[in-house]
Amino acid sequence: MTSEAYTTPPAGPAGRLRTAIRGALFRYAGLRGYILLSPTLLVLVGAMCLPVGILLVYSFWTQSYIEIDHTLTLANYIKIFTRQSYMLLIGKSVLISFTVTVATVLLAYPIAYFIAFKVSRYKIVWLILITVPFLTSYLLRVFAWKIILGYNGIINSGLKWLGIIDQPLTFLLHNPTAVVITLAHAWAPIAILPIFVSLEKMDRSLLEAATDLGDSPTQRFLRVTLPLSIPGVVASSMLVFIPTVGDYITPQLVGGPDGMMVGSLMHAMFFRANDWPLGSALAIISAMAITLTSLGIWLLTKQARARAI
Amino acid sequence: MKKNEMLDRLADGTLNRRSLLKGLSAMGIGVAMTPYFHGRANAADQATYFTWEGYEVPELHGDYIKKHGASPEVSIFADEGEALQKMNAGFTPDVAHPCSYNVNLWRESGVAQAIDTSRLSNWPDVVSSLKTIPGTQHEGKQYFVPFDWGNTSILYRTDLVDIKEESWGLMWDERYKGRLATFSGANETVPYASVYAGVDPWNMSDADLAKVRALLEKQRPLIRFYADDVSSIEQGLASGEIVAGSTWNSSNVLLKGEGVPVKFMNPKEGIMTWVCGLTIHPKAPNLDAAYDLIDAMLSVEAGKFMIVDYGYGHSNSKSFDAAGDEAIENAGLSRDVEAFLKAGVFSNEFKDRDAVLKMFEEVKAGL
Repeated sequence: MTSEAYTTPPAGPAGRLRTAIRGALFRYAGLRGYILLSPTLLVLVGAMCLPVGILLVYSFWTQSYIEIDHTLTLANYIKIFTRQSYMLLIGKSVLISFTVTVATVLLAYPIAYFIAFKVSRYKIVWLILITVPFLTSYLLRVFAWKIILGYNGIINSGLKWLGIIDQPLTFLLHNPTAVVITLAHAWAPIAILPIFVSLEKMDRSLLEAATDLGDSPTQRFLRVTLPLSIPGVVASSMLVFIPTVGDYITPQLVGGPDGMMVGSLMHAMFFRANDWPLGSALAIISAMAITLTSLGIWLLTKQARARAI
Repeated sequence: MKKNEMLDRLADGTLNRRSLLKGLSAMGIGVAMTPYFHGRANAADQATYFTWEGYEVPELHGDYIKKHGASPEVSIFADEGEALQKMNAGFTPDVAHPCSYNVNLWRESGVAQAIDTSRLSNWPDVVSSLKTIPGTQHEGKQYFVPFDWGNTSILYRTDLVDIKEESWGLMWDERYKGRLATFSGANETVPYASVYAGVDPWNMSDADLAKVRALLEKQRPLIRFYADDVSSIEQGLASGEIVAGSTWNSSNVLLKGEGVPVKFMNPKEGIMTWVCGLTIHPKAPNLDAAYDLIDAMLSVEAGKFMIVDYGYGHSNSKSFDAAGDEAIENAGLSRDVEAFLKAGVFSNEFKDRDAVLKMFEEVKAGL
């Protein structure tokens, strides 16, 4: 190893370029960091930012029949904002998702609590056992609910066999309630995990202190456990709310006419109605609506989360 | 190392990790090589057939199997809009199966090419009125080979429905609220709503469109579900979940065969009729195989299967004799195709397709 390699710079433009690059690499740590990140960054930009960018550009174009008019215009946005019915549909989707989020978190909390506090050995096995069934196909799980709630499904056949009813119940399927039930079941494990993490890292000595100071178990839960688990609850609410607003498969299969959400309309715009710009504008506006609602929840729970350390 | 030797060594504990790995990798290589050793059916030059579910059965292209040794590669679509988008995105099947009212749109989108009918040996036997359906020819060239034809109408349970006369009005009957179903495609549902409203479905003015929209909005609370496929309607009728649904002839044949008391209505305002057929993609990779496939589907054997088993009409005029009068009557068809198609409301292109489709999607979403 000679010191010549470091003291005599190589001649020619190629050599000067190499020196410049090497110099920059030594000097700027940030540059080294970005180069290290570049494979992931390229995938992220190419697979996420570029498609969203394309969607954004599409939303400013207009389409008639087959041709797409490339002049930038706000016509699609104006059409959606001035049609009260479009905004109502987005609002309805947000409301259904909200109901799903509340139902999912309410159902997930006891399970997370059980694993965090009542299970002493093999916690990871419990978590895996709860999560693994949900790694099966989403479509199949929705279909399974169609079989359970259907006219000749498990619930109806069972109740008929027991003699409790003689005509099958029709209010189980093809309405928003079926959508809420199916989505709450499908997203339950996603909701369980953040709440579990939040409860697990809670300091157990705080509970002991609360008991010493005279709290009953219920008071202890309400005054110590629940406030400390708020970050996990908010995280799991976000994780359930954001994807379910745009869900297409569940409303399509079990929603019926009333359970239609904005995802179905977007699908119609991109396939049957053959109006990609309007569908893109609808997608962007729905994304904005979700962002605003999530931001609202985030800000409202800011103080509660700060108290939970 | 032989397998038995490996197992013996494993049994008495003398197998070490290195030998085990060597043996397993030899087995792995052997397993990976097997596809190259037995004769593979040469799938490279089979035609790709893009069609609705149920039309890919081998009985409908027996001659093709005899000539090429295997069925064509099949891709299924459930909706013509979805099919068009898939092809626009780059999917190039050899043969596709649209209905006649979409041929113009497909040709202008660049997914259908002119067909050389002299290459089809069964073309002279095709019913002449089906060869000249409006929209399927352009500048003297044929872009569409008719294959199947039939009706869209209401199939209703005779034991659960009590009506005085057969009319499309059954789909707006308040007595059966929550027990009706209809197709979720605008091409299937909007025409019969227009016919019931008394307007021409294919040339609707803005006022007509508003009238039909009001009618569809009136129907929406009565509908249990908008079906994407015909089997949901068939299952609903069989179980009694719905008492009436709009569907095609094949459902009638199927449910009657299962003993469900149904009747395929012939409404007084006019039954819907349609013709669907085959187009060839301009960039079809296997053009010869495509012509063989279309010719096979036009054959009399395919026609007999179509009429007897599926209950749809077939475009080969000799298929009627092969199927027999009983099957024709059972399916509700007629030997005189032209009169049959004219007696109903024939499916055509909408004048303003985008407006109609958008209107229906909004009605369905409850907007």
